[in-house]
Amino acid sequence: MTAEAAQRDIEAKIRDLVAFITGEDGAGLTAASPLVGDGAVVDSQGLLEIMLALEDFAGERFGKPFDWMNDAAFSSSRSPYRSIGTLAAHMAAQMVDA
Amino acid sequence: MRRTLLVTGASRGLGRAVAERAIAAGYDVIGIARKPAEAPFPIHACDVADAAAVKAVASRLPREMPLWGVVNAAGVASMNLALMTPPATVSKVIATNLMGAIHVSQAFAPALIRAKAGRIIHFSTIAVPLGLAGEAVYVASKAGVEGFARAFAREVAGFGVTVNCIAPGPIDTDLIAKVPAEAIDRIVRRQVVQRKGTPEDVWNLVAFLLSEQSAMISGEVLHLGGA
Repeated sequence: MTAEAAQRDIEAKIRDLVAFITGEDGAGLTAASPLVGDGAVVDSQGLLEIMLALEDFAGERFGKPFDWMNDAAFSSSRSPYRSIGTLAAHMAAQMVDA
Repeated sequence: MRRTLLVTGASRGLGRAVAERAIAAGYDVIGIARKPAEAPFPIHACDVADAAAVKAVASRLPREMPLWGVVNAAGVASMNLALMTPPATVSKVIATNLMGAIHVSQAFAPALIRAKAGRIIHFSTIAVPLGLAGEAVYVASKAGVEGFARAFAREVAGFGVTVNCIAPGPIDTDLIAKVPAEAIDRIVRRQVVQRKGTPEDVWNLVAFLLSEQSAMISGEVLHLGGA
């Protein structure tokens, strides 16, 4: 699988997770939807739920562990989790290259 | 359904005492210890100071295992003046007591979060509020555990997971075996309840914190003996 294909799968998964956690239909969610900082679509508890669910998804879909510990997790400028798209790209890089 | 407890420091001392009583109370117990000993429950060889080793134990536990609680009793003491404590000992005390508490929480809390329920209990010491001279490094490590537990309790509260510390006065275990009786007596005299605690006293509090009835108690430090 290419990184681009993995990223698309993961991004769709994240959108589903955000919709489930927020109880909304997720129609307005895009790759740019923030997960951290101002305007975040989930709180820190929701972000934890997303990470644990992605850990499960990584094992089921890619057969690989997903390491989501990161010093910059809550930096609105540097966090790999600052948006749905950056999280998907960050995870996809681990799933394809790891 | 039987509930499973993960107990660190399970081969001896308070950890062993808690593990044995937990089994008698109907829990399944999985132990962690640096040096596993013969025990009526499985013990994984693991130093809680080693984050990767703790995570490896967590990854070997079956996902469907109904982990209900973590009792983090692993600990090392250093009864010494701060100015006379070698740097290697300082590192060991901080790594085992404080970093160990963090490593264990990071490794096992996800199972509790997934289950949307659970209990984490760390051990501190009455020496923290008493500010005992001759235990500064140990006190620093345990004060860190208390701070971590209070903040971590808030991070996981929304998932039905409670995090508390039990801070006992002197209990008859290996940890204080080499401490002079006079020094122990001086500590006991500063407690509200002026006697040494027993492993049974500790278990009574652990059992309550593990119970459903303790669901509203989180981020607390409970001083056994009274500070």
